[in-house]
Amino acid sequence: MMSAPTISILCVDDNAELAKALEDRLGGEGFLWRGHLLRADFLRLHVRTQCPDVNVVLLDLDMPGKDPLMELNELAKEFPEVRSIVFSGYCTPELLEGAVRAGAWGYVSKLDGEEALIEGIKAVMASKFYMSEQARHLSRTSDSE
Amino acid sequence: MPSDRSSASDSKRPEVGCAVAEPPNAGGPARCLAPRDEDSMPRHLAEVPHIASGLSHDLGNVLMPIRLALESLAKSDLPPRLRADLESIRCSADYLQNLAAGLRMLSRDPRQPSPEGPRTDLRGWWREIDPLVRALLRGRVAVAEFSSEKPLLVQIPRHRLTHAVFALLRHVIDIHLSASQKVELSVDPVLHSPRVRVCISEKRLEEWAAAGKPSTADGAGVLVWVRELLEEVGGLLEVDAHPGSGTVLTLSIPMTDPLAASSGGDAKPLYSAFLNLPQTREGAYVRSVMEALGARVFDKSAPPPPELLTLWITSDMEDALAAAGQGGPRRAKQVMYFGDGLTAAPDNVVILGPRPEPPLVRDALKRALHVDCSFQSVLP
Repeated sequence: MMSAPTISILCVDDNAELAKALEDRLGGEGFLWRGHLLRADFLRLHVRTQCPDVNVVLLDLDMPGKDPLMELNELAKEFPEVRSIVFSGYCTPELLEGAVRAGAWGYVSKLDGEEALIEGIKAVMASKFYMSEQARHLSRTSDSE
Repeated sequence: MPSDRSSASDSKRPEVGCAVAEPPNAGGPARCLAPRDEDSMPRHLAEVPHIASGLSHDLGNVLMPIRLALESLAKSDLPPRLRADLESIRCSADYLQNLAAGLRMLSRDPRQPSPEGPRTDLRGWWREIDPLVRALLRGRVAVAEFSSEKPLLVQIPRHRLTHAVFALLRHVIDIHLSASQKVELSVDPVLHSPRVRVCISEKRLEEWAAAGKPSTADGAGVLVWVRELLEEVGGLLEVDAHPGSGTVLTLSIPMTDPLAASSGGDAKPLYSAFLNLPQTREGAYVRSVMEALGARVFDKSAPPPPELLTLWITSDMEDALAAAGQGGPRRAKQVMYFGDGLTAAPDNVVILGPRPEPPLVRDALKRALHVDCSFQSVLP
């Protein structure tokens, strides 16, 4: 029997300690860690040259350099098969909808923890759009004015 | 730190100096002459919401890798001494995590909905308020012990409760209590009618303050503002003040519907919807929002029951017209068409266009699921 292909992950977060901790945690879940970037500026270049076969990109939003959502938008156009998940400490209707508009497949609040992130990675790889609990609450309660 | 909780009886005065002087009206209660540090407290507190967001975010960023590392270490084979040390570190990290959570609540606009939802577990909230009060009010308020085996869910968003209690505490601190006047924050976990209390010993606050008009010039506005926050969720603010005995400010908060509470917030679906969109990211997003709104979603792989559904979503024009009841029985109360070219549609069809913006999708879904009557809306 063939085993399920390993899901490969690239992380973009300026918090190197967090990225290292995620590498250990996600590695323990059987995901393949493809490295991490400290800013989004060269995300597409990195994917193009270093890991064109990456499955999931985890993207923080609060980083120095280029606006991560702009880079996400361009990544989604160039690599439509890559599933991007925004993984941010901030969770607002504007950020959530900005992420959807830019091409994200999921939005996980860091406050919902790494279990939500693991669930999200599995969900987006099953072609489901994933929102962690905080993002789901926002979808229920917020109104666009 | 977590193990060193104060109670009403052992609460300490602030570490900063506090000279007691004769008041202008001889014979009146002693007043606390505030040193420079105390004078600046209201201004500092007014800035709290502005810095709370950044602080809580950064604290969270620092704590997450620590927590992940601790979890990883806890799973490994460690000598008992090291395991005990790790447990101490974990307790400290939990304390900081609660402080970060409390700061985050303060950074949110109390008039806006909360990402944590409309209910609050008083037990978890109490853990947050303790370090927040210690950190921001410099030990001037004693937080009483409160423990409950079961969650105590009340019908108020978490950040709104934090704002209400913190505003009261700020108000009390601002009136310059003397050394003998103490403030205690406590909760009365009576089932069906839990109450949060702010008790001020010896100091009598005017009862009329709670009934006055909102104002920034005096303290009355704070109480009115808190009362309005509570009344919006069916709660109540009561002021019980007697000369010589002090003041008790009581926030009564209604309990959450036990049925909703027992389901943990994931009650059984309220709506039913059929989704006939291509299997794209946009289609997956629509499904995700519908599920967040409480709908049970059917699709071609899981056909719907024969009864009338709440909503039918499709990118197929003929399917939209058929579901709306043209040439056959109606399949859903509302039909949402993700396409163009449909110029004349029955009044229960909403036309969103082939690639609608996310806010438009979410708002249209909310209206379609929550509004039970038919409506016609052709959106650009």
